[in-house]
Amino acid sequence: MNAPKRTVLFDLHQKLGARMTVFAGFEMPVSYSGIIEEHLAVRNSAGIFDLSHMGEFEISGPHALGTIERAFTNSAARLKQGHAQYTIMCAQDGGTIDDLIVYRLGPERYMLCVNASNTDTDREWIAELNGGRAKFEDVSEATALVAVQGPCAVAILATLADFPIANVARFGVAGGLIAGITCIAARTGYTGEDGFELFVDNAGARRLFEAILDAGAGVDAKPVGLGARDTLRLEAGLPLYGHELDRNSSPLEAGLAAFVKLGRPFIGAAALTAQRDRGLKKTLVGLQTDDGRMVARQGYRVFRNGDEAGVVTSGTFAPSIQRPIAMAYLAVAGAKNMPAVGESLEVAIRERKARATIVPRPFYRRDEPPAASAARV
Amino acid sequence: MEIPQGLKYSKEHEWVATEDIVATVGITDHAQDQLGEIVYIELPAVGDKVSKDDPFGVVESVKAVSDIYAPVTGTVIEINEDLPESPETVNEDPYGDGWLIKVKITDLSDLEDLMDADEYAELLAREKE
Repeated sequence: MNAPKRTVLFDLHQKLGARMTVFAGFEMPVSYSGIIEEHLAVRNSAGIFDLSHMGEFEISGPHALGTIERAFTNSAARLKQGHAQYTIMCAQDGGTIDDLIVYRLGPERYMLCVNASNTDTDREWIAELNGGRAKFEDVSEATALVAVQGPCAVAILATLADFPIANVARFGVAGGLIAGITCIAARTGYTGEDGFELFVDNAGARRLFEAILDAGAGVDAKPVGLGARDTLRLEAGLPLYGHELDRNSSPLEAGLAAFVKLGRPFIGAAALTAQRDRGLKKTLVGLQTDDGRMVARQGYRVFRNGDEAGVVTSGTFAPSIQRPIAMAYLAVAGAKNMPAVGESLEVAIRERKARATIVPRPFYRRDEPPAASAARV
Repeated sequence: MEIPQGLKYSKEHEWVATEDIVATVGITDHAQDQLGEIVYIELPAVGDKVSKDDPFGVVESVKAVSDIYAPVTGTVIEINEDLPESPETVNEDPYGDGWLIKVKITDLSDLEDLMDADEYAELLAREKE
């Protein structure tokens, strides 16, 4: 086991009193002031995240779009310059290699942002697929990523940006100076709130992070760790690689059909088309345990009509709705016994079977739902 | 991290306060700090037997779930009825209002295996390395 890597913001996390953990090979902040407090700061004001562990690739040239179209399930052909798109990378069998965002930065220039745990796998997979046609470069080590999320996020950034950042559309991308630091600013996120993800060179990351903290102090914006990042994404019903998505789960099984554009020749298209036509073997559902505050956690078994039918992929206590929530895969046989919202199940929590109900995802929704915007791109 | 003198401590990070043959049991400041915000606590019923070093309950935080181990063998004579409604009390006052159960001790020699405050402080220092 190699010593964990550190992001360029490590010293700042220490200064801010963060509790650290190792995640995807990086020593990262779990929390600063407490998971619930940080979670609620993002829901009510704004939170600032160091996501510099995530991987960034640049792919450019006349063949860039061709490689992207072949590698990913969503169609980038209609992705306009200055816009971003959520997409999935599948293996031939339809299993998920990673989920990622594609940013179109120029006519023939794209950036990809991938999960930290998959950066090496993705780089090799895409490089092989690309076969040297497009210029393809892993810029993860030189790139820091700072996310600002929450209802006050855009207003805070507007005080620091030298461009009209509030005019950037959802899933839009703009370049400019924020607190004097050159940023690629994308109106994307992983919290169910409005906000931006800011890609910067390592050298400017600390100045940017501190400037945003200062600018947000008046509205109690807080630094937020990976603990609240997980509770926020779970409430928003968003999948996390290694939980809802992995090599044994397809994007269709994970409920991500909106991001799979079949009828194009991409890797995994044949397997996914067959899944669509013959019916899924499993499907992802949202769950709520009915009694108490017992949390159905990853790996707990799920029972349907008394029979073991699946497994919990993620579960937590949801701070915004004050109750436990979970996502689980349920085995299905084609379209006949698809689980429905309101259906009652059981989850094995320690020695007992706790009653649970299938509920709609997202579990939490802001008035103007970000999920709907995501589905449009 | 607070480690009051006069209490006994287990290596599983429970504390014990004894009065005659009754042990009041809770989790230490270190344990609550490691768990983070506690959202759910499962306790035995009054009259249940607990066995030294066996789990008698569960404490669940936002990020994790952990067993709570009995530091002594005995019979539960009282449980903290306030905890189901306000489990965060264990975070706020682990040695006071956040106590978990009271146990009538079967064999007082169980207490000899527990640590005093200084020994527990040493254990924490070793675990930190």
